[in-house]
Amino acid sequence: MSTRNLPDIGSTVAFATENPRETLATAIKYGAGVVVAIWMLFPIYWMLTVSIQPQEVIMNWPPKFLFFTPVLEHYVALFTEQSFGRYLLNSLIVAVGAVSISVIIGVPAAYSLSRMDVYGGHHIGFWILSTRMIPPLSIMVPLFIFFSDVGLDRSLVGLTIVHFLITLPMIIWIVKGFIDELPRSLEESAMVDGCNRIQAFREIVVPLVMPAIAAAAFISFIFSWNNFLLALVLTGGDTRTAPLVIQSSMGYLSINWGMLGAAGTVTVLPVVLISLALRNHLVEGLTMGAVKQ
Amino acid sequence: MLGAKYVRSRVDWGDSREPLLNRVDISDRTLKWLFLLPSVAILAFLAIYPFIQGIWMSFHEWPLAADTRMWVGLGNYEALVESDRFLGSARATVIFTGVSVGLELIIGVALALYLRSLSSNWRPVFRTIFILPMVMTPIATGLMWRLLLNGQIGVVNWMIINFLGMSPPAWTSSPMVAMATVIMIDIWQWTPLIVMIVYAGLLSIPETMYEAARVDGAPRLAVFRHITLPQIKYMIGIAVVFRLMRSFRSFDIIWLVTNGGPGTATEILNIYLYRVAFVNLQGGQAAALGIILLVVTIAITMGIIRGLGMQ
Repeated sequence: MSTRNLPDIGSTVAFATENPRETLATAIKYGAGVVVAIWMLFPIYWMLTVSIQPQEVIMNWPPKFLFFTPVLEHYVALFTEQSFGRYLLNSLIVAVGAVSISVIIGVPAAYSLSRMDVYGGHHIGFWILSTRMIPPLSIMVPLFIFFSDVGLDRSLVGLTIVHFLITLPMIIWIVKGFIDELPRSLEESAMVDGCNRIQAFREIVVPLVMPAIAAAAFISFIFSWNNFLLALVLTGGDTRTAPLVIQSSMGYLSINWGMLGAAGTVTVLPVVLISLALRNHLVEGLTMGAVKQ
Repeated sequence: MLGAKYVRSRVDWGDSREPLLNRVDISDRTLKWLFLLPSVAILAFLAIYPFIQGIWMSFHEWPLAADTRMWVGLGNYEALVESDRFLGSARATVIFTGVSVGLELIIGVALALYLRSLSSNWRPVFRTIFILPMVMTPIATGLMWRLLLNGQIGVVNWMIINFLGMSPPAWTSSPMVAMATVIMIDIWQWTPLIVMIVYAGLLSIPETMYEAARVDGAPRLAVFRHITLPQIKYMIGIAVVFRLMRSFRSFDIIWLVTNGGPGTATEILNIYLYRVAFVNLQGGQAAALGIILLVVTIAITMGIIRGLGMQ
């Protein structure tokens, strides 16, 4: 038996045999953890459950938590009768459009702010951060009028433009934080060797911060995808995004819970997958690089 | 002359196999602005233009459905300050933001301490669980909770009746309870963010500080007050800034769960502003409200950021 296993066995034994007060404390501690985990996960689990329960079971009292025959009828109805796929596609177009253009123009901006001693760069950077603090509704009235005047209300183009307010500051700040941490000597030696500034940026800096760019892009994708308010103001009819369709099918009289559960599950699915893949960078993204992990 | 020049440049173009961008020589002085310009221009259009236009609109009676506009000076602001509905929604905003962020802070710090006390096997499990609520699409969060708290099929009511033997509260139909309900949902969604930020702060405390305290036999509360708390104060500040920023833009969940009701009990400023602008179509009044909201938000968050010395 190798000595590496000893500490583990020791702790298991302690859990079982040491004085009862300590055992009780450990039990309470893990019990509390289980309660917290259930509190966090149950609402998500329940939405998923309802989406695969037959209508009779949903309306059943008492509710069935575990044992029922799962059905896919709500998902089928969602994509055939309600053509939810089209609204998911709208959400996707807006998010991908806003994120990709933000990456293309935001990464050079981050480089410029980080490396090129822009006059007043500190203030410009802080101003970019502050645009993220604006409550969107406070500026939506003038923007709504502007977009109506130029015929971009009820269009995905207009919505994509406004979504830059979500994606651009985020990408600039996260990527800037990473460029700040790169040693300057890498580019400087490349430039001594005859690269010009653009080459140094494209061939040295961008590949090195690529993971950060990807993380920033996916995190801002989540926020663009989740957004409801901007779409509520700027789209309607066929240009609605997925959250907007969910909201408008929640009347107060008769609600088709199975189908809504399916719509909610499909809508959160990409976000859940992305955030699980990025779980180590997520907090950094949510705080725009203020918290490093 | 002209011909020779043309030929030489033709040769240059033909010879080089490098991409065009690499050969264009732009001085750093130009380049740094070229790099910045698109982003700054877009953000200026999206943030500065509507702010200035909003100020201009707020001095007018500016119906969104018609082309008439009339200068009223500070009339819109005066009307707002005198209206009970505005004052009510300002109060609802203060209660909603204050209570939810306050409770999230207490629960969040407690859970972060709990997370650190776990063994390294369990930490990643809990970290993953904590990530899920905060990335949920807010409309889906609202949907989940409407489903859970529903009067006919709501599973929470069923649990309260069967496990606790009490009659369930009127989740969204009594003014006080409706406010508590939306605060509860906000706590569900956003406590994890505080947990993760504070936890990142806890991890940066050197273990030696705790060892020293243990050698001295310091009681747990003293360790928390004199070692842990001063070390995570900055992280708590960051958490508060980001929670406040988010709280001032809350809209989706309240819109979906209570729709600002019953009556105007949960009508926070954002909901009121949406109604003034896009239901009543009073553009001038809405612009004035927007300016007030924006100035207050920026003042509060900037104040905290400067106080923390985060800049």
